[in-house]
Amino acid sequence: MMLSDEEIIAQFQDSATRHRAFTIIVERYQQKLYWYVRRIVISHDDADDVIQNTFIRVWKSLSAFKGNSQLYTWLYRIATNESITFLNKKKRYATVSIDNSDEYLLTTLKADKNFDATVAEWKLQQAILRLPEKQRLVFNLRYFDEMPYMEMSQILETSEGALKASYHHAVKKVEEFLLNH
Amino acid sequence: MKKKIYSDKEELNKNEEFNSLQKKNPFSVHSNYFDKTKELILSETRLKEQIQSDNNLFYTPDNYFEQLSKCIIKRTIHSEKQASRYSIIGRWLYVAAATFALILSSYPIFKEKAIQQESTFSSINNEELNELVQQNIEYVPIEDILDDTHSALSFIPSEFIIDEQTLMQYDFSAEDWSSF
Repeated sequence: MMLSDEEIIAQFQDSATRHRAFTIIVERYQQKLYWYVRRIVISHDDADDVIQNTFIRVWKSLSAFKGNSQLYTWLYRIATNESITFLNKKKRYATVSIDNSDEYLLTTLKADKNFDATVAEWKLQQAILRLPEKQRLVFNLRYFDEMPYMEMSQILETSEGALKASYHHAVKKVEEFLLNH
Repeated sequence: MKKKIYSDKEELNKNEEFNSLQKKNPFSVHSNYFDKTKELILSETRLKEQIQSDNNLFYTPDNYFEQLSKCIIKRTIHSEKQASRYSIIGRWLYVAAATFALILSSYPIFKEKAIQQESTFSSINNEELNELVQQNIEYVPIEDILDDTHSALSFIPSEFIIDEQTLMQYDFSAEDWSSF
């Protein structure tokens, strides 16, 4: 029988079933979160680091989770924060100064041995990586994860209206890039 | 709609124009290429289906997710178990170290006391010795007395001497003892 998220959280609060509950969370969400993180940080090795840190953070703070939001939106929020923190750190400690995060990510994308896209996919990724950070997050969540705006607003702490506008701008920019390149 | 029929001259001009364009840009695409590309990418049907069926544009090393979950469990659940084990060992080590430190710190105090006691005894012994000297009694150390006793008893044949173990075999009553 598949446990609901609420049941998993209840099991996590009990020290006798805590380990089992956490194992279920890892097995249930690791792939979804990995792909989400991977689209943000691009490189597999970086995504691997971020996803491990995300789950360590989950392990440490799940007992304090109050259930005000759904478990998976809470997990996405932690993964988003970890990814952005990681990118900021990487930019700060980069040997060559990186003024634009898109240039840095495009270089990473080109260097990633685990990326083997067709021309169209390559163009799409280039277009996405040229978006401003917030628009890129919104575009990824909406386009790839098909997340409703309501849940997205809990993850990114932004109003639904602002998110819709962000997605609209992002799509326009992607279209423009694809037509001109 | 009636198709436009070009004259030979017009046809020739058109070909020349195409050739000159080809010279400027050796790569050419179909006129609707960009529209098709855009449609392909943003149609939210074909590419998206492709992306989802292939799992992603990106891919991971083989068995990555199995390894990932093992790694996460190791870094969270197992490290906590290990940490609690270490904390028990740590606590024992702490107790042992504290005991050792206590022994070390109290050792000089005990030693000082022992020296003081020794000096007290020796001063008492000296007092007794002084008393013996004052009364003109010769002081003989206890070791010498024992040696003298052994040598004094040496004339007794060994078969007459009952060792302690043999003596213990006899069940002497209190009366027997008193009769001695």
